[in-house]
Amino acid sequence: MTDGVDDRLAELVRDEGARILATLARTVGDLRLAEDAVQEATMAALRTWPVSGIPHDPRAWLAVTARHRAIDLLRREQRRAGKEQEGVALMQLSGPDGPSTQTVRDDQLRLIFTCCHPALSLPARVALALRVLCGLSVEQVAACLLTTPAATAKRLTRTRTKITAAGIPYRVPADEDLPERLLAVCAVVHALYTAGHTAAAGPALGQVEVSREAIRLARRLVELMPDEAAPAAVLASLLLTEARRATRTDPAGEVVLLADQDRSRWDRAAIAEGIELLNRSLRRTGGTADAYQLQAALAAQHALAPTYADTDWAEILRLYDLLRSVYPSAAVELNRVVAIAEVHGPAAGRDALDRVRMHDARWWAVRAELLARDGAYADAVTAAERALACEAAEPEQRHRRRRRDEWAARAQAAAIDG
Amino acid sequence: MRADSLARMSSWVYSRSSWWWDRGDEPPDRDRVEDLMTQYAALIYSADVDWSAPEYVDSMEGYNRFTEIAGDAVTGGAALHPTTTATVVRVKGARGGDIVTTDGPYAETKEALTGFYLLEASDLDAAIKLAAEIPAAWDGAVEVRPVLTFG
Repeated sequence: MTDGVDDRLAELVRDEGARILATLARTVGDLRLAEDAVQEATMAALRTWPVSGIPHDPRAWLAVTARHRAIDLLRREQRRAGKEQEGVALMQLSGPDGPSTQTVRDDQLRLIFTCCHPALSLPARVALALRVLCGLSVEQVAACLLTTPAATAKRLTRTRTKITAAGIPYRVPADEDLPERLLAVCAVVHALYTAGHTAAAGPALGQVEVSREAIRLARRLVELMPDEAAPAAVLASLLLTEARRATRTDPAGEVVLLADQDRSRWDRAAIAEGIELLNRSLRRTGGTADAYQLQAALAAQHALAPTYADTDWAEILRLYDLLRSVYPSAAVELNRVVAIAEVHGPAAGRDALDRVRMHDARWWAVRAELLARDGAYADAVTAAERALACEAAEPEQRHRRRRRDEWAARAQAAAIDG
Repeated sequence: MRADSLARMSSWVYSRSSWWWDRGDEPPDRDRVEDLMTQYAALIYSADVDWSAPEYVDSMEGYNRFTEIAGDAVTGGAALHPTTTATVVRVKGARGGDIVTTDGPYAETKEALTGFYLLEASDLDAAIKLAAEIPAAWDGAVEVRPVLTFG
């Protein structure tokens, strides 16, 4: 069996596992126990299916196995707690018929809205989504979020406790609450993707795995709520960004700037799907755009430009102006500065940059680039040093060091000439 | 037989943890509705003022309006004198040790704990909706905390 087949099997097992978890959680009334039971069932599937072949109904197989594991776990727990055994409950659990497709869909949605409830902090929601909605193990969640398994386990326990104690409901929100609650869900998907797309530190630029989980979750959301605009916009924005991933670094793992990326290697199918989703989403909202739609539109502008020089920077600037009005953030401001510099020149860019308050690594890096474009190499080197003093992913740091060295050489050459 | 086992199953699910109880599946019987309610404390953080002073009569009307809207959901509560009247008590070492008192509230903050309600709600969403009707929610903040029940 090749690795490719193993991967597909692993995907299938995890996908179906995530689907049945929601229903099992409702039946046993305990999220933690359902998680453990489903994890044991998926492990059993990965052990036996490569030998016995994939059963004709993998979901039913997993559902039955997970229920048996849940019964075992319940029995053990009840013995420990010294409780009288609830024979009827266990009998119900071991019933032969699996849940209907509709029930599975409803349960999944309920679980998504529970795990992504705005009363939970965003980091807590992200960790819980990876564990419960994506079906990753605690170790995998920890690896995704660049933390330790112990810290992750603690955070997950705290979050589950809050869900139970505070009475966060297991329910799809009423229509009037849906837009706001859906945004809380989309924020989780987006945070997940960002965590995978740009690492704040560490050896790699981003983690492909986490991004893939985010896209998978976004897809499930679109599948479950095909008529809602927000999930379609989030998936569009993820696909349009992800389409460029392969060209963001060279084979050695070094940063390749947008201007230098090989656009023929961008994933055209993902771009086409992203644009289709964005259009569908915009039709739903009658032309008014929310932050996710604007982000998708920005990614689309880059994805559709045949070359860097052909990029419609005026349109990109217009989109950033809209985005900062609905969703002001430091990252949006910095990207807007870059667009201003492309449209109105580096000096205008620097003026706009001066009005951005947060001076982080990217702020200094942008300042350095804008100074270098006007030939102010010595000042660019100083700004680049400030950027390098901050923590960033290693490829990003190496790229900034290379730029600094180039500018230092030019500054020196200019000094000799002068 | 089946209906009976379903009912027992439901009560068992509820006894484990109420939040999983899906009210859409099967209407719970009347006396169990009581069980399904969770008690919350809505802690009111607002300007540290003397609510009994004449200039706050209007503010009090806002709170009266809230208790009217909330009706039976409010099971208790109190407004507190300003923090200038507060005394923090500590006992040194263990029980029976020296009693040490300090003037003022436990934590000096811009917005002070000035009162609380005890609320009953079916879940956190319902509790949040209620808390959003308390005047401090737009003129300060309301902290919603589930009440711990023992036994």
